[in-house]
Amino acid sequence: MIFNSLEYALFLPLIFALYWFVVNKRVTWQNILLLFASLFFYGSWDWRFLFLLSFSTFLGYFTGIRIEKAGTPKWKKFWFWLSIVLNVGFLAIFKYYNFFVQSFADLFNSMGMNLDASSITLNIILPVGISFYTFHVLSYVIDIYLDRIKSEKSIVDFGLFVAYFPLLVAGPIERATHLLPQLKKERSLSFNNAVDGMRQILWGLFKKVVVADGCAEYANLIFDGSADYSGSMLFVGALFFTFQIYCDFSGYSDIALGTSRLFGIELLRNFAFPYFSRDIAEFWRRWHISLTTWFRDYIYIPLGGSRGGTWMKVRNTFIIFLVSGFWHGANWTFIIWGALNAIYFLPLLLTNSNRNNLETVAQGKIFPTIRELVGMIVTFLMAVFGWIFFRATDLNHALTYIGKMFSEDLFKKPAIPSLAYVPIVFVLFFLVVEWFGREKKYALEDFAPSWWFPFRWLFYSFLIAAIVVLSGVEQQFIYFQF
Amino acid sequence: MKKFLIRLLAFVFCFFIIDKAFILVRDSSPQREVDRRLEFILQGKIRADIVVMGSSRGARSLIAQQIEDSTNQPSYNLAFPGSDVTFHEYVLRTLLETKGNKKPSTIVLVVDDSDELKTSKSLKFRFDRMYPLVKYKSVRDEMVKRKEKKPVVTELLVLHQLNKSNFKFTPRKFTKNDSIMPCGSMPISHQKKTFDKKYGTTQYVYKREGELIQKVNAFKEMVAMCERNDIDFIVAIPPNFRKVTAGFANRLQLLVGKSGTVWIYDEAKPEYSNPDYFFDNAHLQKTGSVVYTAEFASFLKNKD
Repeated sequence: MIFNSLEYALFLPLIFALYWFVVNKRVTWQNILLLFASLFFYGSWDWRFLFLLSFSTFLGYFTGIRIEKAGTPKWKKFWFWLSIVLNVGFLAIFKYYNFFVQSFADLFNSMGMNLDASSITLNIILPVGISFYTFHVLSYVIDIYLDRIKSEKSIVDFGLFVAYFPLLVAGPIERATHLLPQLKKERSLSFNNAVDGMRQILWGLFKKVVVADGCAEYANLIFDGSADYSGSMLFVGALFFTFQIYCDFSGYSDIALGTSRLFGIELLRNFAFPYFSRDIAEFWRRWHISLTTWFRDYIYIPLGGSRGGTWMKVRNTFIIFLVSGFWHGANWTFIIWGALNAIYFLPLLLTNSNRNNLETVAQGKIFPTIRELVGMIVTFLMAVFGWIFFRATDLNHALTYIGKMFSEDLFKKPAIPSLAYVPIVFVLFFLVVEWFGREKKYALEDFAPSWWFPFRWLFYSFLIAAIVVLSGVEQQFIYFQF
Repeated sequence: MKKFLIRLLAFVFCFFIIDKAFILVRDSSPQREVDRRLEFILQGKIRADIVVMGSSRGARSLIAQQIEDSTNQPSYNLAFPGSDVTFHEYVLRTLLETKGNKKPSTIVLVVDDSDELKTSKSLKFRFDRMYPLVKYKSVRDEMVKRKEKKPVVTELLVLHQLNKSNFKFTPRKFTKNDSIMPCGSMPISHQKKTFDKKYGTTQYVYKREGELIQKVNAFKEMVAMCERNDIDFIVAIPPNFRKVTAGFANRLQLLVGKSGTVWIYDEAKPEYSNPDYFFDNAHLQKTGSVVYTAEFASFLKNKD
């Protein structure tokens, strides 16, 4: 079951009705309902995935209590490392084992040995969302170990923290310090919150179904047949993917946040208009925020962060970008993508200008300054270039794509098919709405609510109409594979 | 909560009303099409004894009017460029099931050597040809059956029946590759600029690996439909600018069995290795189509 499916359109109102009208007397009942709904939601992919999710949940729950109650530092460390090794171990087996086996075999084969990796690779499916819920559990266990939080005694609340369906398969990656206290409190749904939640879901669906899936059609066409296209069309293909990946993932996050708001629970923000960033450091403060801050808090800072000398800063920056790339998938393309972003970041870090642009661009104004505009365009183009590695099937594909893109016909007029102008028009519309909403939590938060209601309803009807017309075969969200 | 639910219901009601206005868009879509052949089928207007089906090779290689002149049997071309065998199966099924269409005596399926049953980038089920015709319930049902559209939503919302092509309000124009004759055939009278004119002498051998079960089943279903309706089923392999794939005809004959015939053109004819008769490596141009159609019509006349 995915957010843009008919099943979810039936599932959500049903759970909403039960939550507010049947089990609304006690928080515990509401949490039990949400937990079962989450397990049903996850099991609808493949019921076998539930075993791994349950194991990860029980492991985090049990080791969390053991860490807190350990009599000696030695035992505390034991339970901590047991939890880390098992959690990371499962992630490694399911997500990275085949990659390492294949990479080692390729390495040995390049040295003249004849190794067949296929006999020792595993034929297993990657459980949806494993990277996300593993990170939930890891952050919880680390926080207990560092005495930042107390362990959770209620298995229902902890289970819900790990498996809460809006964020289970593609985040945002929540923190126990943020989500668990909310699960203990009584919740209420005000009219404004409910409308706001619905509006955010609507905007998320628009981004996913209309912009991302519309761009995906042409991005796939161009990337899959890159040998047949001119340099300028390859650039257009990279642009299509740039908007696809953002609208796909931030659309998902908007639906997740909006859905959760309908249950009276606030989730962490995941995107803050990254394509309006003036430098790459700002981009990374605004892109996939929950993951970036996770790496910052649990890897970068423990490694020494920016406190040491220049060498330490550079080393730590490279480590978190490489790990971030690797987190996305077991493919060299993601690692190169991570490394490329580290290289982008380096000049800012070395000149201490990585925290220059902390505020939203052109705050309180309609237009940016020329300097801001140039900064945004350059940052955007750097991101576009990086996404080629992210989208390519392998390193060879990425390099061929880039080589062909930077040929002499890069400046020729691209032969864009006439129907491809539909997603282009929607991208422009989306950019305008995002620009005017860039100082808010999400673009639509303050874009239409103040309008006279017939106009407002017409605007919402337009968004829904576009979603309904363009929703054909359900397209998976890109980040489900991670 | 009560206020929220009331507002939500009011909005849903208003949206439902707005949605119904799009019936105008849906119902005016067919008028903007220049290729009306699929709509003729849905309207029960096909009156041919010999019907040619297939993809661009069928549309461009066999000239239905020439077949009609030669055999004295009404002929019509229902081949759609870019379509695969699953689409051909849909066209044949619709042709036979729609009231008003005359049951043909012969179906000629012009196949793609050798992608007919395999994955192909250029051949697909042509939903884009169906969207202008979504005002017909049978078209909507087929889209739902093929999971292009969601079942309940398609019934509830007119908007869900449409796609972006329905909002292109200017009439479609034919390109120079798409001009259509009154008999439904679409021969081309020029050559593709990138045609290298080198005759492929490599002898490829057909392999069944890579065949798609959906395509094989659709092909079998076409055979079965023809058998049930007592229709002569002919599978025609048209010329590529290379040798015919060895074993391809045998594979098709195996699927057709005794319920039809697989016919291959005479490879020895000099026209089929002369680039002047070809549009590109995979398609004849009109001069070649005339030669090929004449050969096919002769086969048809002598068949019985």
